[in-house]
Amino acid sequence: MRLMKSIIAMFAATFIAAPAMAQASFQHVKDSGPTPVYWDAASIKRSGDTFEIDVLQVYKNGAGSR
Amino acid sequence: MSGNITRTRLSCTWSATVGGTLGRRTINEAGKVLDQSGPEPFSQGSFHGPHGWQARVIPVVCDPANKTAKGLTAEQAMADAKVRLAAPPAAEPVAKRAPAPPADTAAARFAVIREERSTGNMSFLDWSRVSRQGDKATVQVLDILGDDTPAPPEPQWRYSVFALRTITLDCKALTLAQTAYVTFTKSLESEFPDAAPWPVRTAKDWPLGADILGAVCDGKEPAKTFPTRAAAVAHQRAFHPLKK
Repeated sequence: MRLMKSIIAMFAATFIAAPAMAQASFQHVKDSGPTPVYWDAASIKRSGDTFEIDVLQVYKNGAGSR
Repeated sequence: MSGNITRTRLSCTWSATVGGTLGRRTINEAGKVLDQSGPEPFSQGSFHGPHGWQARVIPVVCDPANKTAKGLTAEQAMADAKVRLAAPPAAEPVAKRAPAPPADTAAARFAVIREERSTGNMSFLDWSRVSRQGDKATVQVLDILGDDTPAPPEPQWRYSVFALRTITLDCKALTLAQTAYVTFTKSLESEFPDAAPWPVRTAKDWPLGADILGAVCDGKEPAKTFPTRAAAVAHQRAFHPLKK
């Protein structure tokens, strides 16, 4: 039963609780090299001098490839 | 094709990451999240070079007047990336080596221009290398991040916690153009001295840049200076000691 609950929790964390990507507002980063990079203007959370931001890097065959 | 979305915290003043990755998600071409992970358990903040996305994103996000247009959804960004990846790769820029930095015992006159108690970060201007021609000036600035890496036997990663920047200032336009950059690790090992140009910064989008402009353009050399880079580093480490 405990194992079943863990599996359900993992499933929920991965597929249900994931942030709504439809709300993103990705901007392409020019001159960022061979891997396309985008920053998400909608993800920015400011706190004083610092800010949190989501950055998307896209790979042809998974991370580390082009 | 897959996308990695990494959540990071950055500092406008220090142009550096703060701590480590806050989380990571992998998405597919439809923008759907395939898996995700939480924050790194510990990671020391570090400086970033002129080639990374941080050098381009920080000036935009830190500009209070910035109004970013509505961007792409995750699915649209993945489609856009697909087109870019299908195109022939652009030629990689040839790395430009900057002159080697002065030895850490070379004569200098480092004065503190900013210090931050909460992090231990500190910035020094080397008054011995200020060269002024009318409204333009060339300066060297040493930035140090407070290093909170746990003491050995914890791993001692090679975070870039020192940055020696050569910057050309325009005192009239209030802009700063970084022309050379070399970082050092906690153990003062020098990394590649890079002469790649950085995006031009302004006093508005870079608080430390405003301090540099204020010191050089309107100020005068303070009485208290440190005679070498090693002495400046020792001063910062007394202000924010390493973990032992």
